[in-house]
Amino acid sequence: MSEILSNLSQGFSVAFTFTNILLLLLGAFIGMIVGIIPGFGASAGIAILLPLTLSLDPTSAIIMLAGIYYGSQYGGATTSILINTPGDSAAVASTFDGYPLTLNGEAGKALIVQALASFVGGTIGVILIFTLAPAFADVAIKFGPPEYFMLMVMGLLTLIWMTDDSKMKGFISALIGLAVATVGVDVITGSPRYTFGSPQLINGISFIPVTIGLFGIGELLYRIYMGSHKDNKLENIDLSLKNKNNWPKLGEMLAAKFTFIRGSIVGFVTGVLPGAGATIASFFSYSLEKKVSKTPEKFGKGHLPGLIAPETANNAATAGAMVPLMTLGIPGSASTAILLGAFLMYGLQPGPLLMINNPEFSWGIISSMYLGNVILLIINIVAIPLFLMIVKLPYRFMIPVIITLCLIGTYSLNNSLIETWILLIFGVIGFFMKLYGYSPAALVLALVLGPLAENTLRQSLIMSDQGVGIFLTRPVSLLFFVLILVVVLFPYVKKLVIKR
Amino acid sequence: MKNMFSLFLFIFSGYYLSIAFSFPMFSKGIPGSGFFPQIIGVALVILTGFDLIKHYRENKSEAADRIGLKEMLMQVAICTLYIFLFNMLGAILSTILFTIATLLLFNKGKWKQNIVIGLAVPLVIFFLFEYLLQTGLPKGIFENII
Repeated sequence: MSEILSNLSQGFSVAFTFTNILLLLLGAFIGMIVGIIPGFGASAGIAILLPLTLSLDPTSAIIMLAGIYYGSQYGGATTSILINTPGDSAAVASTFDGYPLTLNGEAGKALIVQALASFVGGTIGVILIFTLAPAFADVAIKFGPPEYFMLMVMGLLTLIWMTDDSKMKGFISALIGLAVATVGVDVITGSPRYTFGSPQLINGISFIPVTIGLFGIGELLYRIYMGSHKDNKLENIDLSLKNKNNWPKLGEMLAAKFTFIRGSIVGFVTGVLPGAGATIASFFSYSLEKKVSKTPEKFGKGHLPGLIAPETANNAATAGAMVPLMTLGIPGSASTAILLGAFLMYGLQPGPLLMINNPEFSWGIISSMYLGNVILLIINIVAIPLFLMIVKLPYRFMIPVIITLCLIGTYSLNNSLIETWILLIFGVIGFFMKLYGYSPAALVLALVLGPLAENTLRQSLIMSDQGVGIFLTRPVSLLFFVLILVVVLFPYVKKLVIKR
Repeated sequence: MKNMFSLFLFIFSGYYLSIAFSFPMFSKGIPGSGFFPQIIGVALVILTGFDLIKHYRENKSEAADRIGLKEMLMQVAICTLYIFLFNMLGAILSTILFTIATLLLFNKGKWKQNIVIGLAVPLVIFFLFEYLLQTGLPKGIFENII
């Protein structure tokens, strides 16, 4: 307990500096806006704005990027509620009861409840990080290459397996990510691979132009193709905070107190699991809430617990996903993979030693997340009119702004024109992937994990004298193997159970 | 188009694998630089092959939702030109031309609006990157002026 308190005080002393609070505010605010823009979520937001943080010191930069990361969860549901268009995939479940609330004339109340649910989820999530992360790091420090390799396989498989889209396409996407990751010098033998004699490719293909291309340009091209620049269907809604009817009643909130807690815990646990992120957490929490509810028939018609469940869960999941990222150095989703990339860019190697070697950094980030949730709750309610303006802003004006930010941002990283070409190429690839149901998220996660996956696999085989038995004879590695089997078999078992 | 993209992925996979075979699978008794690429390459070729066959069998027409195909292709063309001109004309001028060209595509006929946005957005972004973040964007023909 005293250890938690000392971590807490150390963290807050870092988070509570003027610059860091200012950057946190900026990150949280940008995150919310990114969340609101349809199609753009945390991944696009962090990737596009990463170049802007380069002049900052690492702690401040990561505080801001993390603010964008969890801030986008707050914004994502705004359009789910108002126009039935989720800002990102994690906010899809919030349309189920969020939009019916708007149709019932309760948009203002829905937005405030959403902010409250996000706050509770985010805050409980951060408190759980404080209590669980050190224990995680203690276990993780004993991991060797075989454990790391199995963990990465599990993360990638879960990401591919848990989505409803074609599993084969998910696999192909992840393999392409791994293939792109092999470009550059092989770190074990030192020989160049896929460099085609070009000095620029010696260090490999940076994940930043690839990510910004896939999530920024690719998403934008997809929106243009689908005609998003033409429609604008928001009608005038009374969202005045002075109107008492736009505030939820205390009784309604107290009646849903267990929904808040259940959603947060379900979300956090789902977020900690590699590969399962905010999207899966929100769906899971929604269906669980419907199952335990005494009035399941009210769901889908504008029932408040139907909005609280996914919103607490997706925010708690973003907090949960920080645990494997910071203690193992293994991200479980595209957005945390980009955060990992940012860590590495600043010379910080996430893993069990991060908390020991850089406690002020680790606890500073986590404390800032606590603070960030408070800030987000306030701006989320106070700035509702502003967000309404952003929702109304025609897409056609955003197109040149987003592309210019993507392109100049990419160029400014290394002053490299080649990287801007990579950006455009992956933008076009990202468009086709999105259009035909491939998974850009799996590609990015695989690209970031690729070098580590390759090295740990080869190191494991060297350790075992080339026998694959090493993955099954070490207890933790065996445990991961069993978990992988569970993940792989889960959809089939579920089908069998439902049939009966 | 779906078939074309699958075919592209299949050809990419084959090409990737063919190069992977030029790296040694094992060297000095330990997994060499070709070990991982060859495994990935084989898996890619098999899966993209299946994917391709599946798409050819389905062969559905997909014309229904192509609302903005023309605009999308134009946008890619404008981006390509933008990158070509980026170093030559410098960041400011090329970004202004790019923004106006994009707005002409999506916001037709509103000349005043397009010119105001087309000048304001690039200048703000240039200022942000050049002066606040000091990134050193190419200045092209403005090299001696700014």
